[in-house]
This record gives sequence, structure tokens and C-alpha cells, in this order.
Amino acid sequence: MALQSLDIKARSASTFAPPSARTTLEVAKLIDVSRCIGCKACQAACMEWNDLRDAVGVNEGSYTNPPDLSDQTWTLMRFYEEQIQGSLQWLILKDGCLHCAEPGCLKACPAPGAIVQHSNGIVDFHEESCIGCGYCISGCPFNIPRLRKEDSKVYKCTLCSDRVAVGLEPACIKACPTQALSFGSKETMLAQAEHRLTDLHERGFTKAAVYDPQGVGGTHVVYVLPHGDRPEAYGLPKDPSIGPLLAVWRSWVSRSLGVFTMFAVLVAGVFHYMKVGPLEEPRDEPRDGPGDGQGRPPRDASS
Amino acid sequence: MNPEGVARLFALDKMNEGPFPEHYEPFESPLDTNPLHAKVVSNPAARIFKDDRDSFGTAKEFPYVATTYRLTEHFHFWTKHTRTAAVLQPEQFVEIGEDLAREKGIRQGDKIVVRSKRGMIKAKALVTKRITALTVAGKAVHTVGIPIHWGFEGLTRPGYLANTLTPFVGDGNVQTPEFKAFLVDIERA
Ligand code: SF4
Ligand code: SF4
Ligand code: SF4
Repeated sequence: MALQSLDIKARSASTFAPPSARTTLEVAKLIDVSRCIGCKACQAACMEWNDLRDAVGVNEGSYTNPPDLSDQTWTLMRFYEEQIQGSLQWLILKDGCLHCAEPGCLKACPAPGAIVQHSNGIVDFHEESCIGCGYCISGCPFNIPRLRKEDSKVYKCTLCSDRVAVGLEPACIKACPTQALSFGSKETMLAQAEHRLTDLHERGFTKAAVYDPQGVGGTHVVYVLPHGDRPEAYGLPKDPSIGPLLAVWRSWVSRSLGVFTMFAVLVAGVFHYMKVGPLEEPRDEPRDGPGDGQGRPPRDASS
Repeated sequence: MNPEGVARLFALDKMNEGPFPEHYEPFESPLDTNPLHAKVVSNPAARIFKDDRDSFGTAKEFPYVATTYRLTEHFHFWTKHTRTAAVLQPEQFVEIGEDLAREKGIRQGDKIVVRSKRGMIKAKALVTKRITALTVAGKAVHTVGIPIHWGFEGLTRPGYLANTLTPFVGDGNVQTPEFKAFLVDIERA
């Protein structure tokens, strides 16, 4: 279901003309990793606002809890200990959907309307249309969507589209005590990120950089990384892209290939019929042995 | 600045010690001496009952320094009852450095026992690069980090009270307990 106050600009497995009566600002969430203290207030806020409750798990020797994203955990603080330039860095990354401008998940999805992209940049899953095929999972270059076993539907961060639709900032932004998280138009967020970079460069983080990967057309969740030359150290891919296979998927090549295959199968079928003729059913032979006389297989005496 | 050109410090004459800080070894110390002044090792003004003094361990029996602290996910012993907080930090753990883990054959997530002269707890091991062995007076000293929060019932997995390990010492002026430095031994459970 679309939110009345959010226009839809792209829809999985569908062609349509997006509404054009109004223009909307592109929004973005800025995650300034240099300010994050790993308190998980954002993670708790996400659970509260979205009514998500993951299982009380176990400690596997890490601060990262639960251990992975799931249908109940849409954002997760991941902790890494890395030696960078001779000093130990405790890197903390708020993981979750990046709301790509060219979303691999949406392009891969074969179910009409299960994934939509709003004109403000938010990529939203509409679970009622999801068929549980999991193509979005392989289509996402950031390993974000998670399939829920119980209902065979896929879930991820919505960028709190319901809050944004009524002029509120996402829940995680509201909860962050250190202003590591901010929300606004993509333009202001990028300007703010640049400002942070100047500060970080002055403080000796000469490799600090903004993570807004162009391989997916830029994202609507943008990171400021103190060690920006090494996004992999934070668990982020260095040059993410949606991959050549996915770009072909649903393009004219795949469609014409599909039509060609269908036609070829039809022609082959006709030739086969002409050569071999109709399929004859072999006559059923009467069965011996301990069956029940209705073609059911014999059963063990114990069952 | 005052007319005489120096700062002034006022202190109540009700204090048992101070106002200037002084280094004393904790009552349970990995060293036998105070490197600054060997004659006075620990704080003579601290409040200790005689029987409690008998419950102090020695570095021979309990070779590692332990400290207790809190985590951002929980508030004291209260928030174990909150489902969200329990999800974010579900199970009791103690932090040890990689060197100590290697020495003791402890791997990430192993269950370990931490013992002091006063009691023991069991918890998961979180092996970290953030805690390294210190060299103090020519001796390698390992630290064991013990987050509190567990013990009593709640929605988290059950755990042990960290304060079964800690010594009964009150500081000279305000009786703050010496929970930040004491001695323990650890092993795989
Ligand atoms: S990060 Fe993954 S799930 Fe999120 S919009 Fe991009 S491709 Fe889709
Ligand atoms: S934007 Fe909303 S859904 Fe996404 S991580 Fe933040 S709180 Fe969760
Ligand atoms: S609330 Fe802010 S400081 Fe705390 S973990 Fe999230 S981003 Fe980091």
C-alpha cells in the first residue's frame, strides 16, 4: 500500500508513469561514524517504533547483538577491532538498508509492487505483495533484506517511511544521543558531511571520506567514515554495484530472450508431435502384493 | 588569580585524607609493594573490618587484576526486565585480552569461570584486542573486565552477580567501595 503523502517513482516488475503533480525533496540519513559511541539507542528505537522484538539470544563473544540483521532487526550496530596505521581502532557501524538510488533489490524483484521507490528516495518493501522468492536478497549489494521463515516475506529498514510521510525524522535519528545520526534533504546532509570531513581532516583523520557509492547511483543513507579509504574495515563493500547480470534482467535483452524461448519451445513441440505422434499411456498392469488395491504403496506394519 | 600569584585550595577539616591525591595500591594488588613508597602500600585511612581483611586474596593465588563496569545497553540491575534491552545485550560476559586468552586456551564465546577469594561467577568470554597486558614493575599484568548487570532474574539469560567477587573496602572519605581493582583467577568452565 502506498502512503498517500509519498509518491512512488519506481515499482518492482511494473512499468508505469510516476505521478508528477508535485516535486519532492530527496531525503537522506547521515551516519557520522566518528561520533557514534555504539550505545545502540538507535537499534532500540527501531525495535520500538516498528514493533520488532528479536529473540533474546546468546553472547558469542561480541558486542554485536543480535548477531545479524533479521526480519526483527532492521538496523544493527556492528563492532570491529582493526589495526589501522599502527593503532587499534574500535570501528562501530550502524548497518541497515542504504536506500540506493538504483536499488538492486527492486530491479531483481519479480513480484509487481513488492518493492517500491518513493520520489523522496526511500526504498520500501510492501510485504503483502512479496512472494518470498528471495531474489532481492541476491540483488542487494549490501546483504540487507532478510527472509522471515514464518510468512515467507522479506523485511528491511523502511527509513521510517511512515514517519517521514508525516514530516517526522526516522525513529533512530530521534534517539541518537550524540548526533551521530541526522536526517534531512540529501543536499544538506552532503553539505553537513563535507563539514565533518574538514573537521576530521584537521584532527588527523586524513583519509576520512563520505560513503555515497556511485555504483548504485548514490544512496539515501550516507556515511562519514573516519577511515574512508577502507570501507571494507567497516564491513561495507568498496565499490558496490548491482552487477552486470542484474542489469540485463528485465532489460530488453532478457525480455526478447524470453519471448524467443517461448516461441522456440512451441515450434519444437509441433515438430516433435509431427515426428513422434501423441503420447500413449501404457496400460496399467494388475498389481500383486500387499497394496490396498487402490494404487497406494504398501505400508509398514508398524505405521 | 589571587594577589599572591597562586591558586588556593580549600578543604574541609572533616576529611580523613587528602585533599591532595596520593597513589596507594588496591588492597588486592598484583604487586607486593607500592612502587612510589614501599613503606605504605595501601591506604591507611580506608575502612576495612577485620573479618573482611581475611577475605583478601594474594597475587599468588589470584594472578589477574579485575575491574567491574557498566554497559550502555543496561542500567544497573533494572533493565534486564526490558525486552529491548535484553535483546541488545542478552548474556553475561567478561572481557579478556588476546594474550591471556591464548595462555589459558580460551576462545571467543567460551564459557569461563572467574574466581576471587570471595566467590565465583561463570560467563562467556569476549576476547578483545582492546585489553592488553600491562608491564608493571617489570611484571606482565593481565586485566579481566567484568560488566555488572547480571544476577537476579530478568528477561536476559540468567547470570551471576559480579559483586560476589568484589572486596569489602570503603575509601577513607566517602566509603566508595573498591570495586574497580581486585584480584581474580580465570579458567575455562
Ligand atoms: S541497500 Fe539493498 S535493500 Fe537497501 S535499497 Fe539498496 S539494494 Fe535495496
Ligand atoms: S530509519 Fe526507521 S526502520 Fe530504518 S533503521 Fe532507523 S528506525 Fe529502523
Ligand atoms: S544511537 Fe547514535 S551513538 Fe548510539 S549507536 Fe546509534 S548512531 Fe551510535
